[in-house]
Amino acid sequence: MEEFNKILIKEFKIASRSGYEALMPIMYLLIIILFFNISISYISRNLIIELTPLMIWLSCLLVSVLNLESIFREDYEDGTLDYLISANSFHESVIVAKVFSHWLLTTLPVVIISPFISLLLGIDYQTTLILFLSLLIGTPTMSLIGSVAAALTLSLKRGKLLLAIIVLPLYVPILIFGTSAVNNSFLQMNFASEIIFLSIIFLLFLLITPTACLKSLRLSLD
Amino acid sequence: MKLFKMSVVIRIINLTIQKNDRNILDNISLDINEKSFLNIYGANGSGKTSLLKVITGISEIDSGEVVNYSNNQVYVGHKYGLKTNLTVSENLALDLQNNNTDKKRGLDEVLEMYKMSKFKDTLVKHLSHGLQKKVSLMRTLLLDSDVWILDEPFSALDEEAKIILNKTFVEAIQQNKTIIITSHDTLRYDHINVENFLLKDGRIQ
Repeated sequence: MEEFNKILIKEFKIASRSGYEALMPIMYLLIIILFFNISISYISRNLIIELTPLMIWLSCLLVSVLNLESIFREDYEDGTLDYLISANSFHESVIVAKVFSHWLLTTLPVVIISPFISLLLGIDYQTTLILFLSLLIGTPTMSLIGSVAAALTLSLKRGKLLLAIIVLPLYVPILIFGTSAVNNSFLQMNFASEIIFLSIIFLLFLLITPTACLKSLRLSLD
Repeated sequence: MKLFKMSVVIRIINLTIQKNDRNILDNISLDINEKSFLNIYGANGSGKTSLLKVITGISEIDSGEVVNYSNNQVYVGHKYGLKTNLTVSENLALDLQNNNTDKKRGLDEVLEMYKMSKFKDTLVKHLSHGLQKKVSLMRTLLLDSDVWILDEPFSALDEEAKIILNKTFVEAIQQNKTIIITSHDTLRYDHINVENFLLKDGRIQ
């Protein structure tokens, strides 16, 4: 746990010195939502309100995909990965800490701001709460899945598109359960099973991905 | 007369690495004893970096075996492994955190040795290439590792830094460290023995 905290502190220190970059995901989310709203502005108000939480979910997913590449990119380019592996200091717990800190810095701000956007766009409190909860469980799962793909495409110069192609199909179950929970809440139906399934998927990938990610990183460094 | 038995710290057996159907390393066997100073020299593309990456465990092996008995090694490669948005002292402090060894020199002492004290609070991104290399080499002293694996440590250094590094090597060998470096030429010191190996076409000559 001490090692985990040290990595978090290091990542926060680096992020705090990278200036405006930390605000980029929020800006990107706002722009996507604005574009969505413009494109559906001609349909009925009731339909817009029904679609809005799903639109926010999808926007968060897209922001999450865009950020994935940076999980290990800097460590790869500056030689930190080589250095840590040679010193036997790079193992599963370090990967979990890296992915978690990356999620905290790039995706959590988007998750936090989503309920405010939802309320501003006229969505009820309960649906907003479920939107927040489903994103809070769904987005770290997406980061865990994405970390393996990010590790695999690390040595490719133009790997961003390939990374998106690899991860997007894998995000389908998370998207289905996440949006289904929000939609059920909106329709005053039971949403507990979707949230439970999202939590199970999260725990499953928390167990699998660190080992898969470590193996993928070693392949990329080879 | 007292006889000293040298123990092997790294054993390489029939090592072969292939890339794009070309043997980067071709059936290399080598025992690296503790307290020895190995200089693997050769032309660009002769496989020096590949060999070091295999020894350090960064790269995978196609065939053969590398047994590394050391559990306390430091590697400085072509990429320095420094965080450019952190200061020199913050980077070195991170190394102390990442390394499990208890035998550590003081940060200020190491900075002073390399005449880098004035850059202590400077962000690494504001340092020149040569100064960044110095910071990465400081790790060898700071972590006080038993095995130093350095890829072309003299490149990008000025004359003063080269003198300091040479002095550091001599002291390290006297303190029973094992040093493995790569370079483009043979290396000789007055008071310590350097084993120079030519790496050509993936083979040790």
